[in-house]
Amino acid sequence: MVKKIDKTVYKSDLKNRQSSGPSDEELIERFQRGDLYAFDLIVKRYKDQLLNFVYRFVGSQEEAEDIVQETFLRVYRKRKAYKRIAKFSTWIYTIAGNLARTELRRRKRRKLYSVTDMGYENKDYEISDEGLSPESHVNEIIQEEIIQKEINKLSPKFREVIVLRDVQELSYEEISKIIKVPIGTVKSRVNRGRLKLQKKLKYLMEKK
Amino acid sequence: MSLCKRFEDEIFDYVDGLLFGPRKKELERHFEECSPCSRAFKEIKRVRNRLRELRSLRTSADFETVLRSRISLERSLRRGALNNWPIRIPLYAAAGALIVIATLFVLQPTKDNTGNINKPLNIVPSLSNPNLSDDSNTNSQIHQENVFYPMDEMKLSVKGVPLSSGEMDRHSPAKSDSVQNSRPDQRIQTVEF
Repeated sequence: MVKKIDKTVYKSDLKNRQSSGPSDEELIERFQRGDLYAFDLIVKRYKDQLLNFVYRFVGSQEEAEDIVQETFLRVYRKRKAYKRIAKFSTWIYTIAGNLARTELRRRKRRKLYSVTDMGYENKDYEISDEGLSPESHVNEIIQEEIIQKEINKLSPKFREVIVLRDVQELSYEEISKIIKVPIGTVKSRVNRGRLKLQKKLKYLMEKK
Repeated sequence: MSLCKRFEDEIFDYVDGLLFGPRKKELERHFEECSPCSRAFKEIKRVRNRLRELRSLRTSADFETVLRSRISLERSLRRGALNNWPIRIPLYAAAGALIVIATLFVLQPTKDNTGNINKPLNIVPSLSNPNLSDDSNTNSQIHQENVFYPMDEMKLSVKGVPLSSGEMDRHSPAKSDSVQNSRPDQRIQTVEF
């Protein structure tokens, strides 16, 4: 049973939080000099973003949280490795993406793939309480479960770019740096991923 | 559904809002003429927008607490591992044992093919060069007289146990029939390194 908790967290809200206050690059430099509060701020800024990215990529919220924890641990350990030549977001997304891909490869070897992990069972799932009926809420959730299942069916190379481009709304340039492939290849994969999803979700989009 | 190849890239750029100027106008004219491309564009855009509307998840309430605990644990492990005596003493003991084993291994005597044990680190000087001058020949004679062949001095049984003097006499090349009947060059056994 889904609970109404708080307002939905919109991506624009996340972006607004980041635009005020010190930049990511300033924070990491302060952290490199020993300011642990700067690291706390980095964690607050990126934990939900990264969770969404990794969750959409690996399909399991529990594993996604573990991976995001590990991402921050690596940022902590390897803070001196970050150089200002790249955006901090590129660096942290690269770490998270590498860990997520490792988890998928490990899962492939184990051949464990729980279908029940691919949905919104988490009680921390938030719903907007602004004018939508309970029935609409349930329909939304079911629809999103279906969408997530179709995303999970994409091969990892398409899934990753679709999530980074269409869910996380990163630019093609940044995605190219994160996954280390040319921009043209990123665009091609995004396009092919969208075509595949469009074929699978056509009936869902028509209902809406 | 298949897009017109000529306009495929343009359609995706148009979905992303990255198409401008004459190319954009050309594509919009194409949509008026080609309903499959027009329909495909609308469906792809709908999927893209729907993905953007997927709800954002939040980390669990204790996420930061757990992370801080893991970091504290790592810091204390890194700082305290070698200062912690329950860890330090076994480490030192293991290091010491390794050194002792390595020393014994290096110092232990080796066996040659005949089963005789040679002293470790005993280097047998080679025979002098017959082409050297008189002085060097004299020196070489002295050298030869002073050459030490451990095989002569220490004859051991096959099992590696030193022989008594009686046994040594029995086994010496001069008294052994088999040795007396053997060719001279077979009497002297040299150890080659």
